[in-house]
Amino acid sequence: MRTLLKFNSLLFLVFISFYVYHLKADEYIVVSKDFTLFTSKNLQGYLKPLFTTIGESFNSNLYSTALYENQWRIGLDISINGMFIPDAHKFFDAELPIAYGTDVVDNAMLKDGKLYRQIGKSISQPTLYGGTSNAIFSAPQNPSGSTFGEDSNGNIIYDSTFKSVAFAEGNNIDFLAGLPTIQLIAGFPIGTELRLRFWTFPLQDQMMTYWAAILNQRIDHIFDLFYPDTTMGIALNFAYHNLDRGKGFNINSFALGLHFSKSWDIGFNLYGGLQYENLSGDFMAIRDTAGIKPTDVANNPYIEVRERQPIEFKIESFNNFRFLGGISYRASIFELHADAAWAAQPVVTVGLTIWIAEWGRKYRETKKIERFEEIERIERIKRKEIIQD
Amino acid sequence: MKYIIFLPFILITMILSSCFTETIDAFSTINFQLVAPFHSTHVDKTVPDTSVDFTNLNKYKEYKDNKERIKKAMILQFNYWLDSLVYIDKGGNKVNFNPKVPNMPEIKFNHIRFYLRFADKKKFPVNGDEFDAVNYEFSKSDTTMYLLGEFLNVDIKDYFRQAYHIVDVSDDVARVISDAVKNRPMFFIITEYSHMSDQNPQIEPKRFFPYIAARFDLVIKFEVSL
Repeated sequence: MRTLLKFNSLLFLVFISFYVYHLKADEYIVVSKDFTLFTSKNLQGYLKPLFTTIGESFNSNLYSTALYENQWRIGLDISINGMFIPDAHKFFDAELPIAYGTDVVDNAMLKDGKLYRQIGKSISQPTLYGGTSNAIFSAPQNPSGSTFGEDSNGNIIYDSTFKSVAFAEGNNIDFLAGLPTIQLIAGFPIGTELRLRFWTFPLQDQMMTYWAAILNQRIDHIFDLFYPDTTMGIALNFAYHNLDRGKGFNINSFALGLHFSKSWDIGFNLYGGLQYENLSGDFMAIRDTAGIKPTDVANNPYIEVRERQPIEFKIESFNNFRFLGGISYRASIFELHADAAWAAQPVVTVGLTIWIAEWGRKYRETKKIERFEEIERIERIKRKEIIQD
Repeated sequence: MKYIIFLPFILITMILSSCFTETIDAFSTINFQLVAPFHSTHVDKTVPDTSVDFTNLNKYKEYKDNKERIKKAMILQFNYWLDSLVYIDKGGNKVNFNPKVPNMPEIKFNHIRFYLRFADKKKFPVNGDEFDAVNYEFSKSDTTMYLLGEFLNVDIKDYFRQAYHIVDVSDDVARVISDAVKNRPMFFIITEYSHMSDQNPQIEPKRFFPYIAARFDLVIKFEVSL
């Protein structure tokens, strides 16, 4: 479990931790001055599939039925999920130094035996889930000492600045286990269910906190959509998630959807739903400049890195929609559930709910029996009338 | 009997749990590449000859900070180009080679080969600079010259400030030197310049070049344990 916690403490933090110089409470994340592998844009592209995984993990296991009974109940749910990583999430368009693709340098890349020349603006490179990266070799064209221009601090940028570049590689991931979820479930006698999640752990000197609130509200009974059939239900679901590490980063995610379920007396329940979801946030880290004069520049072909500008980007996800189908089975206080969802990264989830307490159930059947009796009386009267006629 | 229903759920759980292990394994390492640039500048050079360039990966912070955790270090690719070349024309004059100038003579090597040879620190270093080549010598424990790659029929005009002459280091060589590079980050790159294509060794054993400034970039991949 310790290993799992270590792992699920968000993979990107493991990644960031690798480069982090130090982190202190109420301070920005500070990365080493030698963190030269990424510009902000390239780090954003490299990690975007991972944020997609995180967002999809957040918004998995929000429900396993739409038949929320009118009763009080308390349960504990534990689930794990996994995402299939599509090929499209294994590459991103990495930005290149500004002089690439101009007559200032001649550049080339050899990839799988194929030669690419005079590459400018951007080039496809692996994300964290991808494979091998390919360096781009660069040869400045003008005589030594030729200048390209000046940076924002007035320092001269020589042509020789635009040297060869290499990129980070991916880990060849086709299927990724997402974040395990432990949540407390509370049912209310108005066809409502509330799910709460919370965990926190220290990321070096600063606590990182995650919390989520998920609200499921049955709506079919308001309109008597399936009445008197009590084996089907429709409900709305809403979820909000927040992951926060002070000044370093903040992630918000929400989901809004509609789900349906049908149950059978033998304990089975089929459920499905459509959901819109979103993930957004900000990441910011500053480069360590201790011992460096303001006019000093890093030996790097990217101007942003050269000037040691902060690493700053918007956290985004590829995913917005999810179609889900699943099955659950209840025996005694245990309810097993498993579902699969079509999303940007298709998801499978399996979990166990333990219903710790249930009480105060309100039976609509009372009204139903009355109505059946009423119908029966009417039918009897009609039959009697027909006989009399 | 009804507990048989639990089996598929348990099975899925087991599969997903095993995926956790695989995922943890996958993320237990991080791979990145760095480019080690070499500036090979020579005054009054004759060919055929070899030139020797030294590097110590400890000068790269990415290597130095992580060397305890480096699982693999592989040389993947390198390229070669000439930044500047001064030759002697038929009149005995020193001329800056420039392929854009008309009527430049053809200057062509039969081949240029690149070898790697590991370095040891000298018993009595000349100075205290750990990055200075003068403090190192060819390794006596590993005397192999590992062939990284070669270029054939090297016409200088095609190599003049052109980045596209890239060689993939063969898997066999990469594998052999992988462990060694991890543990012995100091090595020499030996560049072997052959005869010129129009040079008859019997008549003209050496050809003189007043100045050669060559460049090659070595791409090294590191696999680091987290």
